[in-house]
Amino acid sequence: MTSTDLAEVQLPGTEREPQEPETGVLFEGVTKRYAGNDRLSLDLDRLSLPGGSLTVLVGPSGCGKTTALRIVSGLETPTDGRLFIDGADVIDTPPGRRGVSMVFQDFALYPHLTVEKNISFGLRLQARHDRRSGLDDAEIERRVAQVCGSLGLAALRKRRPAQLSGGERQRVGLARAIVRRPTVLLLDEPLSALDAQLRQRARAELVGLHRELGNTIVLVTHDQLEAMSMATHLVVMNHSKVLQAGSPTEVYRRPVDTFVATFLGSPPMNLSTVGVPAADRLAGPDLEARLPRPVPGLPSEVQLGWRPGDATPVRHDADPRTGLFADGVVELVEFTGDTMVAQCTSASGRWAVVVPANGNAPAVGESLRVHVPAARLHLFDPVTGSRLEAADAGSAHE
Amino acid sequence: MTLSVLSRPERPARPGAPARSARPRRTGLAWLYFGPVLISLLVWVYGPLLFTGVLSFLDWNLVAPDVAWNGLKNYETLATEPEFGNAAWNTLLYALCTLPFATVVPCALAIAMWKRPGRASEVYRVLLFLPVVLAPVANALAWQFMLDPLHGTVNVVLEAVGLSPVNWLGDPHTALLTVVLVTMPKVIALNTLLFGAALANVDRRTVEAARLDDATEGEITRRVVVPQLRKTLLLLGLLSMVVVWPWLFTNIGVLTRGGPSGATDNVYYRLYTYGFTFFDAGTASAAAVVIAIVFGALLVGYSLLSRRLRVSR
Amino acid sequence: MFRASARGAGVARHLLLIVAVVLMLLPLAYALGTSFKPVSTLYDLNPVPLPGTLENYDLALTRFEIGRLLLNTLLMAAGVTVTTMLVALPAAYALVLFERARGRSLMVVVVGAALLIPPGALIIPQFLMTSWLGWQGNPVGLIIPQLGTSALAVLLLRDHIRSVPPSLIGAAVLEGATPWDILRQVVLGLLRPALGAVAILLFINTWNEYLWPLLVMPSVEDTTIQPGLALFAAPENPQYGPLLAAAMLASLPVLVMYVLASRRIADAFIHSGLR
Repeated sequence: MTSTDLAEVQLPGTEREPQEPETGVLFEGVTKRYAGNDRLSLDLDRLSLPGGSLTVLVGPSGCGKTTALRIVSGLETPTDGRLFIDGADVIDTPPGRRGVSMVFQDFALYPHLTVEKNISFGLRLQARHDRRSGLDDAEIERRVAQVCGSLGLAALRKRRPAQLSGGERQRVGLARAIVRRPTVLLLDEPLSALDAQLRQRARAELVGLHRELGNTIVLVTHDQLEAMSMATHLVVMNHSKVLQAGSPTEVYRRPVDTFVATFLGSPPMNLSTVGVPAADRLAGPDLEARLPRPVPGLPSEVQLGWRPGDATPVRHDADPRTGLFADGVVELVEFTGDTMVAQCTSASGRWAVVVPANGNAPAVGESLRVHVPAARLHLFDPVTGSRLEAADAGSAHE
Repeated sequence: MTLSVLSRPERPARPGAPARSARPRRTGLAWLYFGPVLISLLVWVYGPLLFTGVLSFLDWNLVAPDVAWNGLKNYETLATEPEFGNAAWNTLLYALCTLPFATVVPCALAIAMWKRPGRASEVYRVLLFLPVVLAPVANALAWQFMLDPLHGTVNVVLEAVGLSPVNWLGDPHTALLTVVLVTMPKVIALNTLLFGAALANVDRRTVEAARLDDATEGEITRRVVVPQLRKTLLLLGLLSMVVVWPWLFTNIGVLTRGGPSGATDNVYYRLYTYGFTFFDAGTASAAAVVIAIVFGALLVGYSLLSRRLRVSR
Repeated sequence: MFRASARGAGVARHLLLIVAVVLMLLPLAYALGTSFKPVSTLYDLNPVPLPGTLENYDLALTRFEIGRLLLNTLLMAAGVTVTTMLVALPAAYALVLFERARGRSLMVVVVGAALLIPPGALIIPQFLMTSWLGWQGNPVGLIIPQLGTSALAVLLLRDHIRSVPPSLIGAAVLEGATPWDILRQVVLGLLRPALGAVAILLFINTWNEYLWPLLVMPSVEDTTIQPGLALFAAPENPQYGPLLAAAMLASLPVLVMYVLASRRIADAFIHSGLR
């Protein structure tokens, strides 16, 4: 790979500038500190969520993603910084006036109102506040009917929230949010209150909804699978900061540090510390890797990462080539339907490999050798955990 | 086969067969533990209830041994005597005047504290709860002091401002309302506390959702918070109608003794007057029976109302 | 950053709360201040006593013998609290633990219905019975008939006992514990704070009782503090100085309890109200 190829590759951490720079959500220098804490709950230097994207903020609990979401909604104000929605500075705009709607984690439906009254609540208020808004009873009814139709709520309009199932309540929460035609739609852990069965369908419905509406959606979740499957733009956060932002493929394929690398993907990426005997060789107990080209400037030890799905079992006498060869003894085999995960143990620790279920299942106690192509290896600094970019250039990383 | 059905559950029908139930009923033990309460209630509540019923048909002065059957004469007395009619009317007034202080005021106070939780709300909460625990007679006397027609603080302030002083407790036009006002702090304090407890069950996210819908604070309170407190409002309205009477009684007893000219009299105080001032046990008991019946009717009405509210959801 | 109305609403809220606090506590604040004033400045508008004096308190304690009344009240309140707890606790325990006892629903009805009877309706027979037993003017007559209010305590305690995890009871049963053992070792141990809360509630309510002590102990030396205060206030020209001092003393014990345990007390009242 030439250096020009390198320039093509989007470096993680910076996003493509939006084609129309005035759409989407932009955080500038936004920080949030809660009274009595000396740590910042949110610390964003510059975060841009592209207009029209389905952006997912993902990270472990306490990473600041919900705080960021609530700052966009206006329900929280930042300690510092500026916030732009479609180019307009909205820091001083009250929550109801920003063109933002939110679906809460437990939906927060008004328990004393019917479904249709819940949905039309905001519109009816708007009609009263603003005579010129063009919202009369007929128009409100039109919009409510349309939204109910597209979310399959037509039959439930006269019910009360207490009489609805979890999935139905979620749709009412969504309906209430989209009936006001928001510029930005916010979703706070929208799937966590649903049964596992429903989640799959709900994910698909949300993605379909985004395609239909075309506005900017920002969604917060701690579930990395949800995040990757729904997002057009993925933002990984931890400890109040953004670690990496980009398309799910970019972030998955080129995680910027070991946290992002192990957070996304299940089973998580295997990591071991290995020595660097030569500029194109890595070696550790039961691990041996050869890079296609020598990489200058590698420290004496690196953290080597590879994904369980990128490894394939090979015969012990397989031809030597570039890439990683790892040896281990199978400890446990997990059957997950279409695939099996073999958890192995070796002198350099535990690692996992994914094999198709209809192949030869590795047996417990069997000694296994796997190969990972050089292009699928990730090298990280052993101290900071940051990705060693140089290695990507050297190995035609894809 | 039929035999095993008839056999007693504690013992297995045949050796080796599982016992129908391994947990003994312990009926005797249960009633033993319940005994003291049972005796207390029978002696001091249910017995007296029956006794009241019987007494209401008698003519007796509580001391002398001559007791005469009076039939319904006592009830007639109640129905015809103007003092009882006045007391009944006043009782209604007391109830109506109490209701807003038992519902609207505490609800507003509780919501005010709930909306902005923090140090200030805690201070208010502690202060607002004081009237519940403070000695009722002490409260009455403190008010009596401030309402003294000649030297009391309230009248002094009124005069200083140029208005004429009012004889709060001595003027038949103001006396009842004054007694109500003296009693209300306790009602407000208790109910504010109870509304606060009910508010703990209201999802704060519905307030946030309404904020996002661009509702004003007033709209949020009226259209989102209060509707979720409907059941509590009804409950506390009723609760106050039950507990306020002894509190009113204490204040009437200390401050006005039913006067001036019956202006602050109510059926409870009348009962007391019949029984312990006139020593007319019969009429007093008749009044007690009337009170009990009206009370029962109110309770039935409440449970019907609350059942309808639940069904209509 | 919120709507302009939100800021206005915040001010309105504070105003409402401040007005409420002032109106409800003003008389007591005044009474407190006045109780420390000498006769000359008694009716001054200014509630702060300058100069302050303790002569009212002195008078209250010596001439009106408030101390004696307070002691009587303490005895009554403590007596009623203890006897009611002794009576109510086993009953509440029975209601929860002996689920399969016959007639259990009857027990619940007996207790529940007793709560629904307006207390005023029973006062005359209760008084009659007390005097027939020769208990009038006697502390026993002051305490025992108030057991009629044990229904509330039973229901409150029942709620608390229900909160004991059934698995703990099950474990004790498996170890061969008798119901009495379970009551003493498991329930009492776990419920100490709850029992305290109910006891406090009973104590405060009894301390504030006016009518019953008035009927049973009409003499001004032997009665309790609420009727006692009222009796001192009865004459045409009450001496407000010592009277208010006495009133403050009457409130003091409960106030102290409140300062020490306000959360606990508030929770106890919440619990009783939500019944």
